[in-house]
Amino acid sequence: MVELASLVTAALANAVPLALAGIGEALLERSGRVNLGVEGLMAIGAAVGVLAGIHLGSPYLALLGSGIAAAMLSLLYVVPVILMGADQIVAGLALFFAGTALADLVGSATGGAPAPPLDGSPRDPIAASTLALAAGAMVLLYRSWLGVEIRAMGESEEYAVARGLRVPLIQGGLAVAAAFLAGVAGAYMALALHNGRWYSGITAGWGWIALGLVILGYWSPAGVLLASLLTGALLASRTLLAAYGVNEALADMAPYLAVLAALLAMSLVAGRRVRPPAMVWRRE
Amino acid sequence: MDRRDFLKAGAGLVAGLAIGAIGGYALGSSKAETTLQASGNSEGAKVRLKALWIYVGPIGDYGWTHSHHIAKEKVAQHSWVETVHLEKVPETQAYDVIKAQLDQGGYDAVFATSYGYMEAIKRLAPQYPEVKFYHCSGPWEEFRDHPNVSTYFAEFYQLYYLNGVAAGAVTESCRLGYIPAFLIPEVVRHINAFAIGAIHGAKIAGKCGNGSQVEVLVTPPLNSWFAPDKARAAAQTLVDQYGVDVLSYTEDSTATIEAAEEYWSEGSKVYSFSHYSDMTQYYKSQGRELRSHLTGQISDWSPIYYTLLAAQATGGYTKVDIWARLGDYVPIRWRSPESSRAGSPEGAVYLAPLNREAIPPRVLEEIIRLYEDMKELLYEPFTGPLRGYQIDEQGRPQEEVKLKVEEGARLGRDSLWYMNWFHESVQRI
Repeated sequence: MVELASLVTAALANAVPLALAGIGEALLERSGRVNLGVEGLMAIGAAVGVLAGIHLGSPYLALLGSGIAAAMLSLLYVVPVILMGADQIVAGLALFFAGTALADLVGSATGGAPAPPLDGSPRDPIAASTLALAAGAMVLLYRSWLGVEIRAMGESEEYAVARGLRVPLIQGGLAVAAAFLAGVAGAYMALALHNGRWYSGITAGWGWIALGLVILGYWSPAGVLLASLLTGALLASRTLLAAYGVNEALADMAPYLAVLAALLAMSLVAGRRVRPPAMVWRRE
Repeated sequence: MDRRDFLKAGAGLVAGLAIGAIGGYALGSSKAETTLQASGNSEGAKVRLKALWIYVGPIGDYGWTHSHHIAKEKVAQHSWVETVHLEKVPETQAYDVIKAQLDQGGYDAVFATSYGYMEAIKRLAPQYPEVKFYHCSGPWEEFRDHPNVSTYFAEFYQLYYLNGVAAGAVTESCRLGYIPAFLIPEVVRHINAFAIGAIHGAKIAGKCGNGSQVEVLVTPPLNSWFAPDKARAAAQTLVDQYGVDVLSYTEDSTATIEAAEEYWSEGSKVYSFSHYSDMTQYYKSQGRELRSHLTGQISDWSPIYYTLLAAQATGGYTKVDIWARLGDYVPIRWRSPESSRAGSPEGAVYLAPLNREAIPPRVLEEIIRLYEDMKELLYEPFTGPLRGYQIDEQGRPQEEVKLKVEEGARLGRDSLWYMNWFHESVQRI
């Protein structure tokens, strides 16, 4: 009865923005910083993406533009937190509020007009780029000196400073890069999942989901990619679940419940060898 | 926490608050500019009226709120009325938002354009007896005790029936889909009208066992009037998993018809409808082609707004309940088929342009005939015999199928307004 192929297509389309935002955040968190403002960055990305698409006519230029816009907005996080040592949780939340508010302002300027949409199918080059990004992030983290530095400062910033690593430079760079990806993710949601039309609240909390996926993917780009696919599938099958007799409210909650259940299972299964970056999540 | 950490956290808090405050200020000041816009002027006019419109959604939704806003703009062209509107006012904040406006003074009329503003209006009406309130959708029974509250609504069940006729004529799978925002009586009535229309359409076109095999599959309610992401997912589920090829809906965005349009790009024919605003015009204005559009339900609220305000301006206010259907606010009601205006603007509710390529000529003629007859109530969709079953608010059956409308009987206003049963051809998936 269930038409699997089309479900997979829809799941893949959902997974792309989740993975883009999640992988960026995972890299940042490996360096020992958390940015809770992902949702705000995605919101500004969606708004700028549609507005830029209308004026530039190309969805790919629009994606680029929204990445740059989100990267610029992330300076609201980078400057106080990484350069001035302010609290990252508070600054992240402030970024979320500033981002969503600014997005309403920018998005209203579209006046309901659509930008040229993206295909949103697996043939879309953005889907392939997301795979390449995950692979590239794996190589960066585990097969490069920069990766060793990133992971080292995620385990102990004091040690990293003592070793003369350029902690603010690398953390700041990762924060800006992660914001760029979050902006692209937001624009992808508008251009591929909503036919290029912006509306207020278009990111629908997926930035928060991406934050959860970093944990579910256990701070590994490949893990985040898998987690995105799982969540993307659940998001695509909400109606279907309800049709098969699951309570509507439960069906709507399914993606979140699954993430919770998977987290629980992982914390039981995962041994001591695999653990989150110490600077992000101290367990002892 | 040592002193250094404490200072750091403190600095973070201050920085965060500063950023938040700047963001909040930017939002606050710009909101005032972008959403609170006054238009119209009173120069040279003897009577003067100031009216406030409250919208639940964004003006750019190309659905419900957009249609109210277009009508408001039309009314605002008259020099004797000054209009102000507020968009995206959450139903839970309506009381405070409207009160703040009214306290600034000078308002004569308030148009609350969402069902959920009911409680706010009930509280405000006695506090501001000199202001006239107009609540969109009603029902009027709720405002029985408020002499300064009138109700108005543009009713679509006749148009949903005609949509159904078109749908039944073009479907290949005999499976039609319906995506409801909520399963309140209004939407249930529209779903049933669509279903019995589809059976009639299939019969005229000689399809689907002369209509006996038509199925209307209803998705779980979206639980929001504006939920493009959920509507899109529901549309995809209906088409991909259930083989539906015509999508009807009650949701204020354009997500469903845009999802249908995407299927054309992939080579499968899926049809859908305009909802409150003409989507063919909208696509044309964007230089794009719209292949999935069959017809649809459109409202023009401006004659209603004009009539209500004109009565008030001339001192002739009376508490009314307006339930505009086909044939209301038109100079000529029944027209012969040759001069019919079916598919073009006419009155307060009318059919969106008819897709003359997709709908077979015989069915097109039937749609025009019924459209004209319905204006005079010569034809009424809810005429027996109709069989169905009672449902709960999630659309699940509560009883066996039984006769709901006896042969020859016709449902009146109350039975339509409080409808809680599905036609036998309708199924919640």
